[in-house]
Amino acid sequence: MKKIARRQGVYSIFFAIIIGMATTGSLVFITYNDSYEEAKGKNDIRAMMIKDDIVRKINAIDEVLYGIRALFDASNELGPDEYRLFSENLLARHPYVSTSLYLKKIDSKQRTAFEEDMQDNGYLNFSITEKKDDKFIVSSIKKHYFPLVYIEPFTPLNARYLGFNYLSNNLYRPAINQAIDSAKPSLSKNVSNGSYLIFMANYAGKRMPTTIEERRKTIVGLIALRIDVAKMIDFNFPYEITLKLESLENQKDIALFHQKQKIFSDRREVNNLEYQRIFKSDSGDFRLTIKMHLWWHELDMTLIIGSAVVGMLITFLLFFQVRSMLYSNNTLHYHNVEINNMVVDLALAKQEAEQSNRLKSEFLANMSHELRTPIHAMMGFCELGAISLDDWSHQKQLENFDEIKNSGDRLLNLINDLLDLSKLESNVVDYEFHEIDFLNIVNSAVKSLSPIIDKKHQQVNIQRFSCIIECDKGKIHQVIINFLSNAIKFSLNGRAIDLGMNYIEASSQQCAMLSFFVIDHGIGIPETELNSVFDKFIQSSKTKTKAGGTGLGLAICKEIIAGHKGKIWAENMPDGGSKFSFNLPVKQILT
Amino acid sequence: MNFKRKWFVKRQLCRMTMCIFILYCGSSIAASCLYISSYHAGYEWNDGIEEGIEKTLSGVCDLDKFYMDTKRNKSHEFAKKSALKAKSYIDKTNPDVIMACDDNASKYLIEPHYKDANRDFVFCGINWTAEEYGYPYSNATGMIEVAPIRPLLKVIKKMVKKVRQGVYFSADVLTEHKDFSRYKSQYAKKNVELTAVFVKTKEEWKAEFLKAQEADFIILNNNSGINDWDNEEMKKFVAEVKGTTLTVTNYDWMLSYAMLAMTKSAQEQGEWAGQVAKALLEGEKPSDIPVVANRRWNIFANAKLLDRAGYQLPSSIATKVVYKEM
Repeated sequence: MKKIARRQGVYSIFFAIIIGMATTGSLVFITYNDSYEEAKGKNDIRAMMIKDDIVRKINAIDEVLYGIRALFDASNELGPDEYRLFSENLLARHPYVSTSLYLKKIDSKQRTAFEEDMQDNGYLNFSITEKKDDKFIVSSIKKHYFPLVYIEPFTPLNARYLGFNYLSNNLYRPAINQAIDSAKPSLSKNVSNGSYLIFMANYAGKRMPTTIEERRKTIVGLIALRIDVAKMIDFNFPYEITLKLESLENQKDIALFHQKQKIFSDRREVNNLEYQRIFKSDSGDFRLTIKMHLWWHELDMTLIIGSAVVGMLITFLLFFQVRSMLYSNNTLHYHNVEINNMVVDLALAKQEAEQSNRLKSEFLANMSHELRTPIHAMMGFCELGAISLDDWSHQKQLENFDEIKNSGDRLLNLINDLLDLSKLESNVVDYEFHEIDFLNIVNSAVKSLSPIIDKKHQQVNIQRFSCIIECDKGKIHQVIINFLSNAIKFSLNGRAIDLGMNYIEASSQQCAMLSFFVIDHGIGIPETELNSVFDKFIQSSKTKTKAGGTGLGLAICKEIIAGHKGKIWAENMPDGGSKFSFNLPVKQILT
Repeated sequence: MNFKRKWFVKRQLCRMTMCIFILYCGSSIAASCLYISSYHAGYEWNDGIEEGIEKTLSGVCDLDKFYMDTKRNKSHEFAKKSALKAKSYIDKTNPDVIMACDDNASKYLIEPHYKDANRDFVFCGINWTAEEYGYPYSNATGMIEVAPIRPLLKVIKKMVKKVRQGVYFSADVLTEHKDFSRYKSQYAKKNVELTAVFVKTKEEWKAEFLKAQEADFIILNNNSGINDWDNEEMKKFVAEVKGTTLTVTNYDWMLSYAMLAMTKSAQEQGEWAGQVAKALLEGEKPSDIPVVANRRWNIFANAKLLDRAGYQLPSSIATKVVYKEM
């Protein structure tokens, strides 16, 4: 039962842990999922914001170009100082515009006059140039030129480009031609490291030319802005991000910008996210590709760890709850057993009490009978003597008086027994220990009972040997008398009664002892009553109705032997009859 | 414990020594720049250039200065001597780059001693007459100082409805004749006829000024060369002239007699010189950096004369103008 209960307990705890772990896993999964979705949502918004910002900046570039063109339209001749002032403001507001340029259209006929005019105005060695082997050389003769006349910021390095014919360069020519023909912003090829020139044509006249021919005819100059696309992305990314901006117009699928930032390389990524946005502007159609990583640190780790902790707490609570329940069951079971034992004990006690009460009732019944019998005999002989004393012979009178005396003696013995037992139980008896030969006590007892023995034609066999023992002679004599008289009483006429003694040597366990026994050849004692026959008011169920007696003799014997620190017991003999024995210490040790 | 402390102290000492050594080396290897002024400290134009140079070269190089002082000492001999002193100073200090500003520095120092030499120069504040000094050189580049001929006409056109003819007033000196020819040709391209009045005395100037009231505008150019010029008298005269013709000038000191002045910026010259010096220190060659002209103009207004003539500045000019009480 215990094994089964223990196994059930282990299963319960295991099951509780499994449920707890499953709960923990579910909580962590749910919070992780929520956190992941939230972080992903943030990145979606971030990607949208990046795209919006880039679109806004590209549109702003377009607006700037249109603004400069309007400035030229409004002014008959825009001077370098006015261009400087406008450009300074423009560059300050748009950090991704690194340079602002103005290219003036010069026909071949105008070239010399133009160059001389520039030289007259302080540009001493000015001429229209083109690039050869990355060096500026005087331009070869062309139908028309687009030399740089204004550049901002006006630095010594930028000033080298003054007079440079941008139309002579393959990097810019397609974009310039497209800008002239379309009257819209046109993007050049990559100049260097994500740097592009965006051109816008400036036409003569108040009205915008509508046809390509008209535009080619009325073109007077080109406004150009140099864009550093990398500077358009001015966000501070706290993690790795890859951005790719592609023009879908004339330079098909050419990446304008490809930036990769890797700051937290030690962080572990959760997932890769990729966004693609296509947008239109006057500068053309663009595709922005944003690649991001979702990092662990972007997730709400507090929530996830918190849910894990809550899950673990639930696991622990379940574990302890189950353990507590198992403990309560065990305690309950223990208490049930206790109660059952108590119930059994109470039942036994009740049974004993009932038996004791019954025995007492029986004893009282016997006692009243025993007390009344001699009194009735004495009263009967006295009444008879009062009526017939004169008729009785002298012999008859003596016999009747003997009967009265015998009845009186019996009554006196009974009362003495009761008084002795009462004294012995209340320990008010003083034992008088003297050294004496135990055989003398035995002989004395046998002699005092010899009339009865002779009367029943019984034979007493005594195993005789002398042994000096320290005891209360009178009390031990009383015990032997009691054993012997019981043996005589319960043995059939003519049967033998055996008396014997043994000497038990002293050992480490006990002192030297003398063992005495009386064996009768009666009907024996039931095995269950071998101990109880020494209790007061108890008589063997086999003998009590026939043998009479007070039921106090053996109880008195038990008390006397106990007073000598000895042991008394009864046993049945294998061939019938019973054996009553006691042990006495040879020497009494006074405590 | 003691060992650790000793080790810590030793390590700190080593670090401090290294820092001091690095600082010492850093200070000893800093580039040196020399600014040679044709004029003297305290002269407004010179101070403007100096301010521009200092602003640009702050933290770039150790800036040293040498003043030729040829404004207060106008003799040819003094200028030559001063140039020799400057040369001696250059040889002594051996600067990495030299900024020589205004005409006399080019005329008396660079051209005679360093033309195409193995030493880099940045010039600034040189008049259109730069070609007179043999520029361009292989070892020099810089900024030419040009007058705002076209910008001035733009301002005039914003103030006056019809601009067809104007009068150019100046002292009768060779340089002014050259300047006038530039004005004349430029204005002719814009269909504006410009006539010149070269005078030698103030009385001539006064008489011609009264006659010029018929024109659409008057350009009051340099009065240097009119020996009897009396500032107070001429100011009073101009203030009492009843005409409303717009008077403009390119020289700030002539604003006492003109309604508007469009002047060059000394700071721009200094800043450009500083920027070129910085580029040269970074390894650029002077021959790779073109000679450029100034482009920045300051506009000043004589409020008293403008009000008297009843002019109101258009917003495009009003936002940039600085009013001066003359």
